[in-house]
Amino acid sequence: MGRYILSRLAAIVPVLFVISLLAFGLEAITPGDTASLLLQAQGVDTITPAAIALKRAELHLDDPLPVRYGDWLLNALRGDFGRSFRSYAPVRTMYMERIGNTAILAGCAVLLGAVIAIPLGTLAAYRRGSIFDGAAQFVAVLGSAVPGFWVALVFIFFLSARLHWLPVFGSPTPKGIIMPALVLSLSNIAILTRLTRSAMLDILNREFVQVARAKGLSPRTITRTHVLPNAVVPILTVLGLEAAHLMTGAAVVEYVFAWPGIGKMAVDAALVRDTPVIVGFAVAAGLIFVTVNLLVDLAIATFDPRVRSV
Amino acid sequence: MATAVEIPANALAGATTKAAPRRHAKLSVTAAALALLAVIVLAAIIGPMLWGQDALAQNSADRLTNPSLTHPLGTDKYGRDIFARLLMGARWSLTGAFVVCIGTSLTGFLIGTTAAMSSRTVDGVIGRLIESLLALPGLVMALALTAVLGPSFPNLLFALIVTSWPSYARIYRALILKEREAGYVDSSTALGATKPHIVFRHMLPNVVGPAAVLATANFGGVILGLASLSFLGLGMQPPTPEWGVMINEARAYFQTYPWQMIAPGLCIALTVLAINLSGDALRDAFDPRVKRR
Repeated sequence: MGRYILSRLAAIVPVLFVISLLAFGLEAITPGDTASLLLQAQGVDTITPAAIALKRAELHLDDPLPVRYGDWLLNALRGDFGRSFRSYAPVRTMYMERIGNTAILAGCAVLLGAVIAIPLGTLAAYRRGSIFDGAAQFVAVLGSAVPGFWVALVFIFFLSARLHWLPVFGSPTPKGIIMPALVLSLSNIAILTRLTRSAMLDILNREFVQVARAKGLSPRTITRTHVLPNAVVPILTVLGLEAAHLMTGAAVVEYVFAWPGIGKMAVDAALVRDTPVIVGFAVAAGLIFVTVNLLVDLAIATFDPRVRSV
Repeated sequence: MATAVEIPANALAGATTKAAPRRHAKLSVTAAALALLAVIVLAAIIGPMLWGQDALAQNSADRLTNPSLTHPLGTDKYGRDIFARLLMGARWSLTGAFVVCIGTSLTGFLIGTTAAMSSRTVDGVIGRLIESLLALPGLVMALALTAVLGPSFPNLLFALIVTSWPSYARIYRALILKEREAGYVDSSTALGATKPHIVFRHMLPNVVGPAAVLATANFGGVILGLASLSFLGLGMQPPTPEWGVMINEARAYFQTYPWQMIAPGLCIALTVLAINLSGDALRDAFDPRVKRR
């Protein structure tokens, strides 16, 4: 297991390198003068050429690109991702303040999705070809075709504006989280139902299940000891990926519900071209993906001894 | 990164007792999806001409009207006919997604093939790059790139291509690596053919099928991505009637005129649904292993 963990950690290095290149590249291609934009954000009234020159020197903007990349990397390793063009707040602080809200929302959505989709997909597999199976598959197809931001608006229209059941704006309160979590879990449910169903179907037709049946084991025992443990790996993989996606791809839904998370902040920054905050989002998203993938791989390795020996 | 979930598709070989009615149901679903897709494509191509009303023509006397015979879906805040705008929106969504799918396919093909036909070192570097990019969320990177380049439809298409080629490159690389072992490649090399000649004249026709299936499978997702980012204001800009833009514009009036927001969303959902179902059928037809599922 120790060697496996080390090999997973080593595999992360090139990904981190690519993230750093992407982030630095995004900053390097930004049109407009970073120095004067930052001076404006600081609230300097009259921006003199001398002040700009001073700021440029402070940010090492006139160094050659490879040197600037080295500087960027050193700062990033220290957790310094620059300051917002608008509020002059440090980007890292802005993200640390909001990432908890995003994590709560993503966690609820993943949980909700798992609670609904795993039983749905399992039952569909066991009753293959039934009306129930058809309904589950329809849910799966529909869930991945409907745009999330639109469902969010439709929910707000019916549940908030018409019925006054739930607040229009999402907030990290029990009542405020229901609608955003529900909307986010939809695509999750679609993917997970489809996957659970096909994973279950696959396992149910394996030889070891047939052998277990031939031995005369009860269906319940077969399910508990032979089928479910084998379904854990694919389901866990997708759950992890979905969680990572919800931490980052939820930006549009967060925006619609005005959820105080990193996605909403990134969209707001994107609309006013606040580059440091936008780049911070790309870095945050990359780091979240890397971390979640690593956790999923390690979780799978603990469940499945075959993976460890690879 | 996380192990890919691979489900052996031939696992169900023996379990087809109820196959006949199910296959029948599946066929009718496919037929319905293809018919719906045909209607949407036709609406996009000739719809705006047939309908005759201008999607951009403002009419201050007819602002925010309820559905009527002249305006079956009513008019928006500038008195523009919503049905005409939906038809034009179909054009933008479909052509936009088409451009992105072609662009990513081409980029993925060029990079994947370069990797597969190059030395082991180059292949290793490109392979690592592809894997690293695949480990990152494409839509988030597209959002960031569009925002930095400046919000516009061409920039959005460019950003989506730049961020989504890796999955295509991986598949093309695998396909070309397999083709490289084929006898016809040795024969061509013996005849003195150059690498580009072999790739474009002999290998390309052999790998185009699976790649087309992949592009179709991604098409629906691209439409959703385009609509989401346009909705946020990072893609198509008003007054162009793109579906995401229309939903955003209708947000302010959704309490009193809900269908202005509901109609474009339904268009997106139906289009993606039709494309995804057709894509599934296409994959089943091309990949004999999954036929029985």
